[in-house]
Amino acid sequence: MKHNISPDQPGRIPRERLDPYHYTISLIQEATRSGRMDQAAAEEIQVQLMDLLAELILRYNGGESTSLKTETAQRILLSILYSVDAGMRSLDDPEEGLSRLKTGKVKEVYKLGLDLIASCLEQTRQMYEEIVNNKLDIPNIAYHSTLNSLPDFFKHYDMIFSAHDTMADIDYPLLFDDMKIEGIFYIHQYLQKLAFETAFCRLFRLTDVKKLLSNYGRVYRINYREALINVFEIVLTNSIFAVLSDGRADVLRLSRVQYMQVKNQFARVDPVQCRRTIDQALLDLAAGLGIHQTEWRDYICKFTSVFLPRLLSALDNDCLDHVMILDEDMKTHVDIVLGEGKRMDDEKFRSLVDHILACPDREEKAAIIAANTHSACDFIDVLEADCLFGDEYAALFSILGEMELSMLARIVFADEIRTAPGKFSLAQEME
Amino acid sequence: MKNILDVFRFHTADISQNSLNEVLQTNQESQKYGLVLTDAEARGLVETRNQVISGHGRVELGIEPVKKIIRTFCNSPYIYPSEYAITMSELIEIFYYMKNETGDRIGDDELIGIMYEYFNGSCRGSLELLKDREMALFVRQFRRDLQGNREGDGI
Repeated sequence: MKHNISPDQPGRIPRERLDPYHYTISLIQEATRSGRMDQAAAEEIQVQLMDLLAELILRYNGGESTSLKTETAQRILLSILYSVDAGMRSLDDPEEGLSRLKTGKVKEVYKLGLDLIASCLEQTRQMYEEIVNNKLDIPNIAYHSTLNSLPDFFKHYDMIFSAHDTMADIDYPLLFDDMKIEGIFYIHQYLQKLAFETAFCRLFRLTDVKKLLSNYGRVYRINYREALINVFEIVLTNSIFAVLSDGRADVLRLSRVQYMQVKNQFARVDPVQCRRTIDQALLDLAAGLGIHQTEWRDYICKFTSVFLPRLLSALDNDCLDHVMILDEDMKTHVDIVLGEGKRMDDEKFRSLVDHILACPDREEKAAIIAANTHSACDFIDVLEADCLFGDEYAALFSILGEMELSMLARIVFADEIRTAPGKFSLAQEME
Repeated sequence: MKNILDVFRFHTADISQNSLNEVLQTNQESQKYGLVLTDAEARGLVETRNQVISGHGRVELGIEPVKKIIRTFCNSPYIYPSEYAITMSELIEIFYYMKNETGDRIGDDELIGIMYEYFNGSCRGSLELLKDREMALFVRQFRRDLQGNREGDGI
């Protein structure tokens, strides 16, 4: 088949112009747009893909049927494209890929992609074993449950019919995750980063990491065992402050003296200077901890974009101790009333809600709630049970003391306070 | 460029002369039983096939199941020449309906065989009984067995 393609056509397609997540399709679109491929050639590639799909549909049905549901066919086609993408990305440059597509070698590229996927699967499996052998002994449920769920992914991953599927229960957040990647390549990058983050945390004493998490939980009033927190980020943050205050990167326990030191250091410092200081601190930190690999040094240095706004906001709002986690036993602050054991049982709770609903008077409703709820969780459950209407909420809040209201706000807006401590405004949230 | 992920191109394509010829070729066998499709009827069957596939949200690679249905059913004593095309059309509809209902777990040949047995047996040529009674019961039992097997496998 002849197409209007001339090998000496000027201008090559630069790789950066292509979408790495939909490489083949973006290459075809770019080649068509720039006139390097005509409509007929693009359709011929489509025909080749459909031939591959027909082959896989028969294989999927064990040769016993020539039809299947559209969504299944679409899933198989996406799986084919995932493999073709893998093959195309592995070629030296987009031109070579384009030339293979145009010369009827879609199936060849597909097989190349399948081989790469198979090898990536094996590598990822080995990497997983290594991570499990070196995992951190920290009390964080998401960290362990994510690792525990991955054998199921490896067991069920189907590189022929669902190569693009990322069917894994990944709850533990990375500092910088790329969720646009799919299938085995996603799991590969996830584990690669998790391995680095884990290795980084292992550079510190485990007792210090655990103490830091406990202090972090105290400052943000969260249960750090159950929260979806990135341990590496918390460790890295304190390590930066250690470098800034003490010049040592391998320290996590920070004192009030160091806190004052950092606070003074950044007083009247403009954001540009601040960025420079943080960039340098991150480089010093990487050097101090012996992290010389460019990829991982860059991973650490990228943290400036997350850390700097947080630091500037904390300095502006005079709450640096929410970013710099100090090693203090602040017993007076450990006053969260969230005792699971104090909660009433379901039956009692239902009966209380019925009682509140049946009551016509708002003051009386508030009194019933005040007399019957003794834990913050029960109190919040009552608020969410749709048994109060209009100004009945105000009547209830009016009988609460300042401390109770403040505690309630801390619980209700825990996430907002933790993620943007400087920017949180109760008045704004209430609006 | 048309959407490259458009799997519907399999069944929304124009009715090709090849497909028509393939359907008409079944006349060689069916005429032994006094059943013949005209050009217009063959075209109508291919159109029905396209609509049914699309309506049931399916992708079909070729015209093979239509030919298999015709070849299997043309010797049925319950199909009359005057109702030949319409009966085949209904059987094609039942076939793809059953493919969906059984979750593609029964091969084409086996499913056509099952339909044939019921059509010539307990249904005595009634398409209504085939679809609304026998096939409905079959699907119910099929799902029950499937569930039983799953529970047996601890799924």
